[in-house]
Amino acid sequence: MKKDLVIGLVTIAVSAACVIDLVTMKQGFVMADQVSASFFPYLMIGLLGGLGVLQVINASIPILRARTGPQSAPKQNDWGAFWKRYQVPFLMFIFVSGYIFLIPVIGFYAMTVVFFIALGMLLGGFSIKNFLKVAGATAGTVLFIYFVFEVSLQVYMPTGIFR
Amino acid sequence: MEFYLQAVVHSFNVLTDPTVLMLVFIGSFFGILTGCIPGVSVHTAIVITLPFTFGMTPIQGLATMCGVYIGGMSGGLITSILLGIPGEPSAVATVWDGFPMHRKGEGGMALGIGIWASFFGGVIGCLSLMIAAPFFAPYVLQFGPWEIFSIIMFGMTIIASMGGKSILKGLISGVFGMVLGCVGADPIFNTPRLTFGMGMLISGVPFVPTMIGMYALSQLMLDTENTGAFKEDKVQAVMAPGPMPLVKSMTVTLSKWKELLIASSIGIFFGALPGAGSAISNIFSYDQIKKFSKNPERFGTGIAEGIVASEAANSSVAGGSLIPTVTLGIPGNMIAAIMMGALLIHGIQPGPLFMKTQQDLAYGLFTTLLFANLSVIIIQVFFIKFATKLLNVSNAITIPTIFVFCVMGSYSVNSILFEMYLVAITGLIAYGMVKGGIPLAPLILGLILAPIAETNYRIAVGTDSNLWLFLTKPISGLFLVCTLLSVAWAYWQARRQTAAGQKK
Repeated sequence: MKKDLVIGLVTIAVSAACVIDLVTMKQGFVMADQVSASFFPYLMIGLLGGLGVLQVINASIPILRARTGPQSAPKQNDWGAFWKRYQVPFLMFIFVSGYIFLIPVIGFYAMTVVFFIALGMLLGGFSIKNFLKVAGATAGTVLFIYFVFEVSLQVYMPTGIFR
Repeated sequence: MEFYLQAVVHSFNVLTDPTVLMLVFIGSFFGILTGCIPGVSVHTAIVITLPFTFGMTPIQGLATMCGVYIGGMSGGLITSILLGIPGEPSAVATVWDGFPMHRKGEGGMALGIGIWASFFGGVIGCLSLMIAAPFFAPYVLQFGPWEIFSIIMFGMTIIASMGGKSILKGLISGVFGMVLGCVGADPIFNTPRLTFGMGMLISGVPFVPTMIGMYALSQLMLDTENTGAFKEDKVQAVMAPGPMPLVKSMTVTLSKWKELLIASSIGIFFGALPGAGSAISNIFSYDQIKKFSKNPERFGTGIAEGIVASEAANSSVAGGSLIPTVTLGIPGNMIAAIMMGALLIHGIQPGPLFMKTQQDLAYGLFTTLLFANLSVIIIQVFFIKFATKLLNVSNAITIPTIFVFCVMGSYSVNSILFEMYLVAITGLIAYGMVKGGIPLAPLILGLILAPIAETNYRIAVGTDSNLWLFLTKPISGLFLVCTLLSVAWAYWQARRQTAAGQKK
């Protein structure tokens, strides 16, 4: 239920941020029978904000009912189970973000090798067998991208420090 | 009649182009390959393919995507039958009879029936598209901006209301997508809006990185929950399926012609209905065929009727989903939306004028879809043994490979680093949305349809400022009433479910 409340609040916050941007935007000259550039976005943002308010109301009712009803024992947060469930997606996102944001600095091919092996280890463990499998797949992927994209299609990837 | 004669001429042009045929074949092969890998959905496969198609002509790009689409749908049945894990939501019902049949030692037969049912369902779906699209096109041409705006609103609400458990969350997703679709220069005056001072956003929210982040990154993050970090990835052992009797399995499939026709019709109907698609059609079709069967108790024990019911329905969705895409410009499902996005990037607008102004492309699309079904069957026959080996590929190899192709694909379209960063940002947003129970499909559809809706709204109001015209014009009014009814119906359904849950 708290999750639903957060969704409603985030929706309202997004709408508010969009309204601020629209209020400060520079409008061009609009003739009397024409619709201005900001009209349709205002309409959509208004609708989004309205839906956000509805979501907050919808999520608040059960929370308020639970507070006024008989008190149950407070739930204990099981952080161990939470971490066990989300550790791989969390680490994976960190790896992917690191990969993406370091490509302009280190270069696409070097970062691909590092990222591929790191993610391969995260998902398959530290055994030598897994390392060899992942290293083979890394080499295959990098060579495929190099020959198909750089050589045949002439799509050049960022080179970073290996310029 | 003229339409159909032109169809033959344009189709012949496509069929004599070896590049197009080769791309359909390659696309189908890649689709089957990804369909066989558990955890890789047909959406991910299409999204990975998208950047490769930009250097191609529109028909070549569409041909490749059609191949991936049909191949991916067909490849999904392999995991369903051999592992008992539906690789796709569209193959859930295939597991119910396919896996028991495999456990009885008839895996080869089950695969054969699935492949043929998929083929015949796909062909029936394509034929329905070939007949329906030219038939509806002249009527749709008479639609003005009022009608198009109202149809888009109807499509948006129906997708939002069918997408998830909560209509409110579906609507939030759809309207948020519409807001994202408003980002950048407006379609009439070119005035930048909602860019938050970022020059990168003047041309709008880039479609390809957004799709990659939303469908590939977030999906892979969801798939790896509960797997445990730095642990040996245990791959499920696969029992060999045994020989696939090609002719016998075709005879068995054709002997179930009634089920085949009913399932295909259900698939076409759900495909043409915006928002429904293959995820619902296969379960609905299985359920209906079981209800009307003389021996419903045999369903779930490993019978051919069950596989035919599911596979014919999910494959015929492809043709059905393209009917509203090419005639109205409203995609029937997510894959049709991605294909529509690819056309928009090429500067081609699917919709009422598409069948008139882009006849070669429209008929080319129909022909390549038909040819994709044929190529899939050829590949499956020779590929099936190799495919079973692919089921043993570890996540430690597939997931990094997909990520690398996604990142590279997002960069290669425009060679802009910001588009690469957007993959991470949209991936995180999409992951949060899915965890919060918000469906992604309405957002993507909103993103694609917002500029079209806005342009038509502004043309309509610019032509006549009387807003009542949206309601008083018969077709426009009908669709707006349907819009309200679809929201009311979804709300009533949700209330009924909540009441039933409280009673229990």
